[in-house]
Amino acid sequence: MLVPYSWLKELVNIEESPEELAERLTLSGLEVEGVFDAYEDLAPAKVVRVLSVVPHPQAEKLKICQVSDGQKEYQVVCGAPEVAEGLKVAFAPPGTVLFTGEKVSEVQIRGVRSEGLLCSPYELGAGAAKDHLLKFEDDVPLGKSAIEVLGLGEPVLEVAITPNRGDCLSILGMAREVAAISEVTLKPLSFPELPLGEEIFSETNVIIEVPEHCFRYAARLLKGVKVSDSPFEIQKKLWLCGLRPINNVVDITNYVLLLWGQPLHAFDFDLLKGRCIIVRLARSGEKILTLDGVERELDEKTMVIADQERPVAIAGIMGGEETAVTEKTQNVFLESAWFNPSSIRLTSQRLRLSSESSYRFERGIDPEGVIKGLDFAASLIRDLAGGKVVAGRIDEYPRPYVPREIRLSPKKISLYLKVPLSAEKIKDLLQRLEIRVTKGVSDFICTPPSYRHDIALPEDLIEEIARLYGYDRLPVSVPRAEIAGKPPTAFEKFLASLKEILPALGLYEIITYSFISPRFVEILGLEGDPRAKMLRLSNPLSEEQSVMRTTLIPGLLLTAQVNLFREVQNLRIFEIGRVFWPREGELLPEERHFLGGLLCGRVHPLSCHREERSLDFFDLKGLLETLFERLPTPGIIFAPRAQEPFLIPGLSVTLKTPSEEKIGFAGAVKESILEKLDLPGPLFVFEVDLEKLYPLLKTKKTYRPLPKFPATFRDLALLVDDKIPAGEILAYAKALRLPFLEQVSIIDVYRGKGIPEGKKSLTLRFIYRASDRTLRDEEVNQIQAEAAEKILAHFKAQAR
Amino acid sequence: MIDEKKLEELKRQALTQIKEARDEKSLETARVKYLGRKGELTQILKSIAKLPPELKPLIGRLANQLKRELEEAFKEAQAELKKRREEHLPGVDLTLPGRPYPLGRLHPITQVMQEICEIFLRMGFSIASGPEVELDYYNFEALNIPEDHPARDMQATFYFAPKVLLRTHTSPIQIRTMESEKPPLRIIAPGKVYRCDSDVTHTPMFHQVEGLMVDEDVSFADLKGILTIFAQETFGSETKVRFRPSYFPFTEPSVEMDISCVICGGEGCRVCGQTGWLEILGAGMVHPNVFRAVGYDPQKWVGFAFGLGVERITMLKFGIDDIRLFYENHLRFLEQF
Repeated sequence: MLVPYSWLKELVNIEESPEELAERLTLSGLEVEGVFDAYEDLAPAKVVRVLSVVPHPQAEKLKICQVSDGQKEYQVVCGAPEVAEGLKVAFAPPGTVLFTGEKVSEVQIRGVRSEGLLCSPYELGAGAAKDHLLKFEDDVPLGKSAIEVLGLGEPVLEVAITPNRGDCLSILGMAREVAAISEVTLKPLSFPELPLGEEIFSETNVIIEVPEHCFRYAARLLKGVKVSDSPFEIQKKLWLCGLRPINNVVDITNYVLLLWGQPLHAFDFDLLKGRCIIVRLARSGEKILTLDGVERELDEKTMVIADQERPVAIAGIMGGEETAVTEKTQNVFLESAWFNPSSIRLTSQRLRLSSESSYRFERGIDPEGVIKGLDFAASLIRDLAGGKVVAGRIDEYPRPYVPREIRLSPKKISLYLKVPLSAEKIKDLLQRLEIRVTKGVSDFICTPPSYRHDIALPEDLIEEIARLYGYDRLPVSVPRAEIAGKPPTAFEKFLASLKEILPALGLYEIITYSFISPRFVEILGLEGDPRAKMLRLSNPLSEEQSVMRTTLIPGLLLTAQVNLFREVQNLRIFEIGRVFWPREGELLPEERHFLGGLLCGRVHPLSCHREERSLDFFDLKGLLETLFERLPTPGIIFAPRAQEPFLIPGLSVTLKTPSEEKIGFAGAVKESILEKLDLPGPLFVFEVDLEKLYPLLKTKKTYRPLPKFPATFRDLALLVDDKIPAGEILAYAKALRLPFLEQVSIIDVYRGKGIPEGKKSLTLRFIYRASDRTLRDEEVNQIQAEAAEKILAHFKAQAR
Repeated sequence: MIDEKKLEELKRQALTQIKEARDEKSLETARVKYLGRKGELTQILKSIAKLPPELKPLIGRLANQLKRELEEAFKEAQAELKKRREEHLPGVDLTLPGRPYPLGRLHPITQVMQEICEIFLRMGFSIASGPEVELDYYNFEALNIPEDHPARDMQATFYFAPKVLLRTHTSPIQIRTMESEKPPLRIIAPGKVYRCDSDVTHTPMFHQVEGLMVDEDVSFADLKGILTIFAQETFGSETKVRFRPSYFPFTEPSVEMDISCVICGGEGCRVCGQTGWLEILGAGMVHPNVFRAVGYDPQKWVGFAFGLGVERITMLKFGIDDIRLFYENHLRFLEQF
């Protein structure tokens, strides 16, 4: 909320500067986000001299002026009759926001360029006069800011009012708060005398059909009003608070809204059919053209203010265009009400329409201020727009406000705040907030003022005490408690070790948005795949972020895009995050922790030592093997040819548990997909369902004694059909369960020169070791010879 | 015929040659010439057997002595050459960069989140978690934010269905934990949260760490104490803190904590808006309605809760001025932390 410092000072004595006051308010819970000068927007306007004036060739009343600020000349089209060569006037260049709210820009006026505007006092917010130019004495220096020369300045505090403090959404409310924290008293507001009586009841009446939504409805009638502009002082106050002047009657309702926090609405009484008001729910199919120029269809949940025939306002939110006060209006029906905050809020949300009024109603207005605001506004209208107030006041009050009594025990205060406060001190602090305090047997009995809807519990009072006492003055301690911290769960440790190993393997962690674009279904070819079923946001920020990911691959690919577009070609990244799988018949999806990764570019970063090589599948496989070995999650199977629609079958594997359950995949992304995303290949990705990987984690580590006796090895080179996977041969060799065999591995694969077409040469290395002695050559030879024979026979291979 | 003189001559020649050898190769040539299998001295030693018996002892002794001397001289010369070679080892430009060992790193948000969690773990808090797609009940209702409450405006919410949403804060984890565990308890809940906002200071997804402590005797003073420790461990022991009243529907009294500006140290700068203070977290004493919602007796239990934004703290720690950088994951950004 915008709070003009000068207006606040009309209500309460303030010694501090605006900045000091801002700091003090912030520390007492009303956060001041900034202090600015309302005239800042007008600051570009400067003093210029009119150099020449010629008539506009296309418009009789306009003139073309050349003006100079001492540095530069400008051409301005001006309509003021008195403009003349030699005058010193105020010139607003493009960008200046005038008092009228209009932003100056360079325009063509009937074919002539105008580089700005020569201002009237009104346009500069310096006075009411609109019909002549603001003129300066001849000794005023050229180019100087007009605002500065005129000495105009209005500091305004921008206060962030939390939703519980609806009572501070007014100058009066802010003044009360300042009075409480500064320990001063409010200046009394002069209060009008208005005719009492019954006359109004013979003119009109109000029926509340929905007392559960409308707690109080008061009204006054004014006759013979002359609608015109409101006085400059009122306009200026509205302007300082960010509102635009409209006409005197409407401006006064807004003025009272700002000052008292009481929303009001003025109807043209003669346009109310049946000269009465009915507060009711809308009927289905009813429509209303609201003051913002939008025709709105109403539903049966919406509370409206209606006359005998139709809705004339959406209660508490916005009035209707058809019954608005205009220059033709003579008789005014002035409404001041207290609506149920909840029903205003729900309606405002449903209609996506909010206003200064609804904002205050939602947060709770002062039920006792309804009458004060009404009478204050009625007397102002009488004084400023003429006419007379019809004697009497309507005040339908089906749900009278009942003051709350809250018991507050001193013990509770000290339990919470750990500060010894005397009963006198407590009473004093609370009374500064106009909370009535009486002493019960052991507790205080407190009655908050009618405008403090937020104070309902002892804890609320404790906060008020703490706030006025000063949070910073309250003691600091460290809790005494048993050592209760539980160690991290095994799954948390598992995630932590992934985050240790993966960076050590050269991978950078990324974090991407959990929501992605649905177009990834098509891009990745997931149509028909369970992962195509993604949870959709009903109010996404954009289509690109509208569905919850079911796989981490899209985020990885998008990150590759970002990096490649910005000249990072070598990329090794991973993400650990949740994916979201909708569940049939459940409100909440299944959230699973996944690990995803992406590799592309060279194996080694570009270096003068020339070890260039593009990444290939075995870099990916080796990475995953190392990861699984380090975790450790032994026994993961890399089954060739993954069935992923976005991977090249011949360059991808399905990752499976030893019991053949799928836990993920790894491989090269299809070129057709890379093309769609403008990504160069080869590019490798992998994904692992961590909830499935985790159960494989071997947490217990057992020491194996170091070997005491030397190992001996034998190589077997064989020529075999190229179609036979090396892994099969290796698995067969292992399955032979050869005595003393410690390890068998593939140490060489060769195709090409010297090897017949369709064959490959494969070398297996067998390492033998006995735990209790050095093996003799002869016994190893024999074991190896038998093994070789079996392998050669099984795979129809020849020894080389 | 071999005699002393001849051996002397041989010795002189050999030593000269050793001395003149400029590299290991010519030294080796010289060695082979004298001490090789067919070397001159080797030949002499072989021929000693054929000498007249009266010469044998003398020549034999002299020749063997010469062999030892030459071997020694070769060894020394070799060592000397090796030393000289190493000293003048040419051909390597040591100013070239080394071969890279690419290491990865954790995302700055993860790093700071881990740091924050460690501080609280040391103070006896344990980690709790909950779903990111939440029910309205846990995200709002149970936290004393009924549907018609204006406080819902404070958190622009993503919805899937009327009562299903993306959690806007980590506070629902408080509720879920209290529903399943009995007091006393001390938890922190790190995680992703979501709000419909996007600009230089807001991303629609960000991270929070939630904290909750419930016991029979927990006070506002304890809240101030724990959070002061946190601020000083995170931003340095010189950091000053201040507490301001604020409003959250699920705490009463509510508070916001500011720290002295990490950029200007409190003098006032652009980052702190000339105030010298930076807001870093919200907190408060648990509202009795929250305790009622989870079946804790508000007469018996007192507690405090806090929530802090990990992005904000990370930005302040590293001087990052655009929050969106975190989710672009540009390597040039990630490698700085």
